[in-house]
Amino acid sequence: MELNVERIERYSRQIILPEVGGEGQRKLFDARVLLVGAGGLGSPAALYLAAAGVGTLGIIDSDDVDLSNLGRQIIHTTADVGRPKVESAEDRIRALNPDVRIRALSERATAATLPGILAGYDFVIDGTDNFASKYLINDACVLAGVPYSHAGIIRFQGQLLTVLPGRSACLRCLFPSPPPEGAAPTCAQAGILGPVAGVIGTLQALEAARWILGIGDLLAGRLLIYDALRARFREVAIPRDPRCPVCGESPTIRELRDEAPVACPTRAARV
Amino acid sequence: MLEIPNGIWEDLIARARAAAPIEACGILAGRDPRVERIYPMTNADRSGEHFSLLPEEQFAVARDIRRRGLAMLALYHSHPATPARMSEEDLRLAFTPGIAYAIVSLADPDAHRIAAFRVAEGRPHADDIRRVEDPPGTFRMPEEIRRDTAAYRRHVADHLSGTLPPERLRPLRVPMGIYEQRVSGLFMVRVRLPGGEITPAILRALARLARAHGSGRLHVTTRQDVQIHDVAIERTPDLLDALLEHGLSPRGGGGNTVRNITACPLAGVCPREVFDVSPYVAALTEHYLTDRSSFELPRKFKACFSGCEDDCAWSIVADVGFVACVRDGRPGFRVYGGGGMGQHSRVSILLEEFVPEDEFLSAGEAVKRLFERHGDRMNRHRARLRFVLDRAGEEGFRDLYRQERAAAGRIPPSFAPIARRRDGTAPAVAPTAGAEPADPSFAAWRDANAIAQKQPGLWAARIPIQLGDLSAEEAEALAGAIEASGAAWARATQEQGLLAGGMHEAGLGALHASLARIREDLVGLRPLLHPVACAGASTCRLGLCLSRNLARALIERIEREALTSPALNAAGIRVSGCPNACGQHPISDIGLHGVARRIDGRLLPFYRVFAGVRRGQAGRALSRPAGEIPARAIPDAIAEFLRGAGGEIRPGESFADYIDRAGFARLESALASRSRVASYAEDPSFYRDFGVEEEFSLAGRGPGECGAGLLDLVAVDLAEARKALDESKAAAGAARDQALYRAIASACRALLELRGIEPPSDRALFRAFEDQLIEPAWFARSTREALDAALDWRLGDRSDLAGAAPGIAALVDRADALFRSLDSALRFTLPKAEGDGAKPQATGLGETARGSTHPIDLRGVPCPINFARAKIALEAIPPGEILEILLDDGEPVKNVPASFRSQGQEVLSVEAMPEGHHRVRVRRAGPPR
Repeated sequence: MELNVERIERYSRQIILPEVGGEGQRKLFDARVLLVGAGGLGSPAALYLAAAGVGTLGIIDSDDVDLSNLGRQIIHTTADVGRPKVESAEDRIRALNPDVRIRALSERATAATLPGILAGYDFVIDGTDNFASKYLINDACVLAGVPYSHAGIIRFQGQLLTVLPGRSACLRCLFPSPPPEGAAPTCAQAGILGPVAGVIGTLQALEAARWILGIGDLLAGRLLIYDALRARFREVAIPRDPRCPVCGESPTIRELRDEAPVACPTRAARV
Repeated sequence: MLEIPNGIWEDLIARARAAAPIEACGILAGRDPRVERIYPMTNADRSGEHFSLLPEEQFAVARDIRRRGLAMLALYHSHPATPARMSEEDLRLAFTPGIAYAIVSLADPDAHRIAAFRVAEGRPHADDIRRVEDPPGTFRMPEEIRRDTAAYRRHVADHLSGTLPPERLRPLRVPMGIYEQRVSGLFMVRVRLPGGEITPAILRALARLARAHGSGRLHVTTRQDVQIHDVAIERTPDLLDALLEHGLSPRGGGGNTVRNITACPLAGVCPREVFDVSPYVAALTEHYLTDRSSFELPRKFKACFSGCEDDCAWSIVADVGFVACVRDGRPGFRVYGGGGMGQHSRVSILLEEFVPEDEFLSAGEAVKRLFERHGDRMNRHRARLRFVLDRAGEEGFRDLYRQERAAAGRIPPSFAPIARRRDGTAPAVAPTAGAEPADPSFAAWRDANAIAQKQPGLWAARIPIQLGDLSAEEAEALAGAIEASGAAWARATQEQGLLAGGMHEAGLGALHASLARIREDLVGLRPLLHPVACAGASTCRLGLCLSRNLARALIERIEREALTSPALNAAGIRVSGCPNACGQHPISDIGLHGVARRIDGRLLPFYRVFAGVRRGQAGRALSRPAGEIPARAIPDAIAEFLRGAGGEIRPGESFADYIDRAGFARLESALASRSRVASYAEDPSFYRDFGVEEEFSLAGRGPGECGAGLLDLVAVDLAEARKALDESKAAAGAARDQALYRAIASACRALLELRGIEPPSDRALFRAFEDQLIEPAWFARSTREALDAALDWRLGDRSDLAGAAPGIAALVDRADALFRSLDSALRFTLPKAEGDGAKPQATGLGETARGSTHPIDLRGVPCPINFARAKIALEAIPPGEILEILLDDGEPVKNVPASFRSQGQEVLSVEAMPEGHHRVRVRRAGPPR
């Protein structure tokens, strides 16, 4: 993609940063980022990455836009209720920045399909809302060697960790297996204040941007925890676990499995 | 109190009549109490009893009024059938305080009335309304032009005091329409006249000013301007001020600007016209001139208006062309764009099938912006809009146009008052001079040149002017002749002549008699006897051949052999002195352009001949080339062609049809039989141009000007060198040596031509090459060996050139490469030759390509975009290289250098320029990041 006068103007505010420049902007143009989930986390992440000029954005989400999403999933609008989320996301991204190439998949990522989907991407953003998906993404990225940003939100809390496969801790280094069914509440059950999703999703976009530009420090090996009620950030060092089942010295997970039932309990109930 | 100039008064009535039975409406704006502009608007009610305005039109008009520094003075509407009094309805809807309400009543068919009222406490009070004289000039000069003229005076003062050298004055002078003539120190001032409109008063004024500030020499151009010649630079500011007093300016007459807008000379009176395009020409001129960007375009920009499909204003070669048409009773235009003449002429394409009259300014603005955005500013030779069309393709170009059209939004047309008495509402003045009784030449003149206007009883007449030249005395006499005939108006034509009209029939005789007394050509009968020629090499720095002399030679020949005939009456000839089409040969029935060719080492003038242009209903095509022959043979060839054509063309057959049917073949054969060039010994006249004794040369044509013909010749010489080199490889002995010699001589000559150097002998050739090209290290020093070998061989001191073959081949290769590397300022952009003792160059491509010859121009770019762009440019050059940028005064020059410093880059200098901007030099720090 050529840096013509119009694009220079569009991206001028980041180009003038010493750490970015025209070279950095070209790196963004060449970058390919996959967003798994176009919900609370995926919304701000997709918008900011599109605004920054990331050349290719993949978005995968099997849900349709629901009215209850609009309290935090700001990439969708009231008129989109009922539409597949990836379609609505694609429209908004295109309107914001027509330069971005969008690969939208209105489907669920499964053990069978995810490796094929994430091939060719430079960075993955986990914007999913359930543990089964999060572990699937973790395993797939570690096995494929693709860096990704893990994050989760609930109530007034959010956390994120960047995983550089083979170099820094992965999700299973932190928690070797998902919590038992029902042990952790979902957003539908526990609730979430919208801007918390915005903060964490935007931080995920920043991780991707820093990775692409090769600048600054990543949250690799560092779990960032945000308490939105007390307005406090906290950091916990997460070393790699040599006994990690997927990235340790003797990994036991060498191929993907769909962990628990992947569907969200509330949705399942409605169906 | 409302003062309404005549032109607007008449426009109000004309619009009321055109709109009837619906009420016409709009706004009058100006400086209290004087109305200066009329804004016709849509009556949203489309009713004959009441009217309402559209909100979006009101906003657009209010904005436009503000932009012009005017105020809304009155709201007008018409009463098609009722008297000029405010009705109850009118009163009810009169909410705007502080303005007058003007009502145009058509109730009395013999006496249309305009009355004005002010409303207070719900009751109307009659307001005084006065009809006043129109301001001088054929269009309303925007305030910005006055400011530019004042600024120009300061620049000339700086120049005269020595602080502004000529090359720095040039970019300020040329867009003011002031060109340097070939005799240095004297200048030509090109006064723009929209649609060529010129009144006798203006003609007199121009004559007076030409005498006062120049030599008295005037010239009518092919773009309907009038030029004042031979003006010393120190007189130009006074001349410009004087012109302003007459509502005239040369602003935009030259340079990368919107040039004079042309129109059918019979606009307003032509029986075939759809409607009078004159007000639109003036309105678009005013619109463009108000905008500074119109003077900072990638290249020149030419617009035209034709009153009907016959396209007499040649929209086929316009950057933007408007052709009047009507749809559903609404006047509007077909819009064409992307056409143009030059080294690569092309026909314009249709951009929009119908643009209603209230959107025509938006359409004109859209095409101009398209050009601004996409014209290639880096390459002068490919900068015109037609190259954007070539690159984008027709559909791509139309897409770009549609985008700009959408972005341009609504631009409400408004019209300033211009005295127009062509519609017959005001009676033409009876002639004050009497016709000569029973003048036998009058009848022939009348048949050839008089045109019945669409207004019953009124006539127009063509006044050809040979090569467009008039002395001040002749111009004054001409003004007197036009006035004495009772003519109400005049226009300059694209044939370098005039057209006067609005006369009664009796005025024709008076005009003929007066014209005949002034100069013979003014009552000329045949366009064939009035070839149009560009200025040519005698005055133009770009010219190759003496086009005017050829034109004279052709006239003499045609007259002497009586080669005109009734059937050929309408055919015209146009001569350009070089491939740039200033004589407009691509749109000529018979067109010629000059080129330089080399035979046996000598230069000669040649002409390429074209025929077959079509416009309007007959098709849209440019003239096609029929052959290229020595200049000397042209009169013979043309004479032979005309002789045959006169007999072959059928009565009533158009020249274009004749050319297609049989004429083109005849022309080709007339040319083909005369392509032989006599040797110098046989006939040296081939080696001289018309009307001069000295041998044809390119001396004095320097680099820096875009010499299209020059580059053509250089390319031919280099091709010759290449060919000779190839021949030498296949030959042996003396033949091989001759070929090698030809190769090196042609290559050397070619590069010297670029510097305007034409050495008289071979020894001088190699010496000049040494000085101009080896000394400055464009060629390695070892190249000298090849030159010495060649000269020695030539002088007989060396028996063969075999040993020098590799050196000669290397020279030819390097010459080719340098030529291909030429930038648009005709400078080599390759690194200089290194090694063998040449001074090491610290920088390679970077400094040459991006140093002081090519600053990045960021003027007009806001912060921080300017820094973003400068930064990207800096990233593109290696560390240690220097980037030069131009920045505006104010925030840009404050912020950008500071930003560079804060990011660790070395700012070498920040220099204030007299033009008001700053030049900044930055050295890229390394290693990168």
